Amino acid sequence: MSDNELIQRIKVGDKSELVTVYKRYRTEFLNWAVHKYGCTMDEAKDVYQHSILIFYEKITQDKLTFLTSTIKTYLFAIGKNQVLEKIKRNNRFSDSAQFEASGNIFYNDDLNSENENRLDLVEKCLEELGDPCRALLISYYYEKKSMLEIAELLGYKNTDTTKNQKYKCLKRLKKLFIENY
Amino acid sequence: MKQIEMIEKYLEGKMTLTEKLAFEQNLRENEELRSAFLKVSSLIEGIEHVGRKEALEQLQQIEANMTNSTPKINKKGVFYSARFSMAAAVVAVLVVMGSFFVINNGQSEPSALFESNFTPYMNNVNSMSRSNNTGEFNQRDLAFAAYDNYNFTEAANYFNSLLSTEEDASLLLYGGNAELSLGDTKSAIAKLTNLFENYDDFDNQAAWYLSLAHLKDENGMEAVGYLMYLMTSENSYSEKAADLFASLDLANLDPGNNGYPPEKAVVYDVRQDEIPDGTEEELSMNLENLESLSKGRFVQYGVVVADSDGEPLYFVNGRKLNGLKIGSSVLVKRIPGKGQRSGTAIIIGIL
Repeated sequence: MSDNELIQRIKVGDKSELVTVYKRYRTEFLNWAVHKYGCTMDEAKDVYQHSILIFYEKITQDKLTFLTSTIKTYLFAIGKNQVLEKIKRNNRFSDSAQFEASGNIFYNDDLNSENENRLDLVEKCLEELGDPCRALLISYYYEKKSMLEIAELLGYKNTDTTKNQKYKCLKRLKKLFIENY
Repeated sequence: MKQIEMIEKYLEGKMTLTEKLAFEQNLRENEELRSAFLKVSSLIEGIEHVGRKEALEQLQQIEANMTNSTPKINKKGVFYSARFSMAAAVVAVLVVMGSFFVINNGQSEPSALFESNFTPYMNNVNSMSRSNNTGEFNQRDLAFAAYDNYNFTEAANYFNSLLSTEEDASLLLYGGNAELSLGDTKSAIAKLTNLFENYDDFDNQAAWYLSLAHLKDENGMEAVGYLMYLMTSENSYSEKAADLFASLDLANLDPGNNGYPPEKAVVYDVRQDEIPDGTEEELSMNLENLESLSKGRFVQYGVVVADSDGEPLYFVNGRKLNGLKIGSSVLVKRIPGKGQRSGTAIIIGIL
């Protein structure tokens, strides 16, 4: 199967092809991250998983429908950014510790932690909501599946029913969220 | 339309410009809508977050099965804390609305910039010659002859007829230029994009004329992508590209159909008067070239790293943004890179 066929398969929701990609470049990627950038094996795996995730999201968000390079080149380019980002974050954390020690707060994390609290709350509400709403909302908003694909996946009669159901689910989620906020 | 549907339509970028402006106006004025909007964006962001977490856990499970060890639990925030979704970016816009800087260093209309910068590429590949012994001119000669005489209608016809049987780089370049001269930007863009992406010759020429064609087409974001391509390597168009770039009104560029929503990024490197030790090797980004072009045109330039995917992006400011430093959080509009180069960020404001 060519790289572009592989991408099309992943796009229509074939997760097993993502596993194929994961396994195909794993060894080479891990070696590369460890030897070129001095990552530990655990860090390298972490970076690899995130890189595959970004690759997957680019496909579902239609930002990658046709590759002019190979999947491998693309994946390693993402990986490189991820490793550098990781190094940068590590440096920044040590910088900010220094600044804070000298009474000079350089890096403000408040906004992020507030953001994370909010995300955690949505997560709890989603669990409370349960399936099929949970699956429906994730398929639509994260996996970017079409109404038709979701209808087939969850066994709804047609796209109108699915669309309706989606609004009901989002409304229920909103209600839960407001009650707990 | 129900409120929630309106909000979704806005977040998904499916509104027309008029609808969008009306909606944003409404957001500023209507407290209740604003509150609902923030909630819905939070929810969507949360759903995306949970989906992502789930997908990551699946990958960790595959890894665990392969190594037969327990999966490593990825603690949120350890190094991947700030995935920034579309919904969150819009929340950020609201938060900073009214308080951020807007860079506005130009005044000309994009299509007027086309008129003042465009001259058809000079023919220097095909000198008029009798190309066979019968003393007749072939179609190629006639095409270039028409082009040299500024008879672009005739030239475009010849080029198109030649291209229908054989394609080469110079036919695409001159054919595209003939069409651009006639104001047929759509056909010109098709030819020049083909030239830029699929041929090794005339990359810089293609990028220059594509930037002009996109300006005329009111698609400023695309134009910026090609200008940045020319500005980040040394070539005969670098200076012209920098002049044109400096005269663009970056803040008001039409995002076109492929516009990215505003997103968060962190400044990785920023340079003004003096050049600190280079860090660009790590990112393989050529800031030296921007430095040599900056004099008198733009005062700040550097690299930001997008929060969402760690992509490094160039930025160039015509007016100094006070307080911009390494580590600053900024809100940017992204323009994808051209020809394997890194993309461009237009800084909307400091967060």
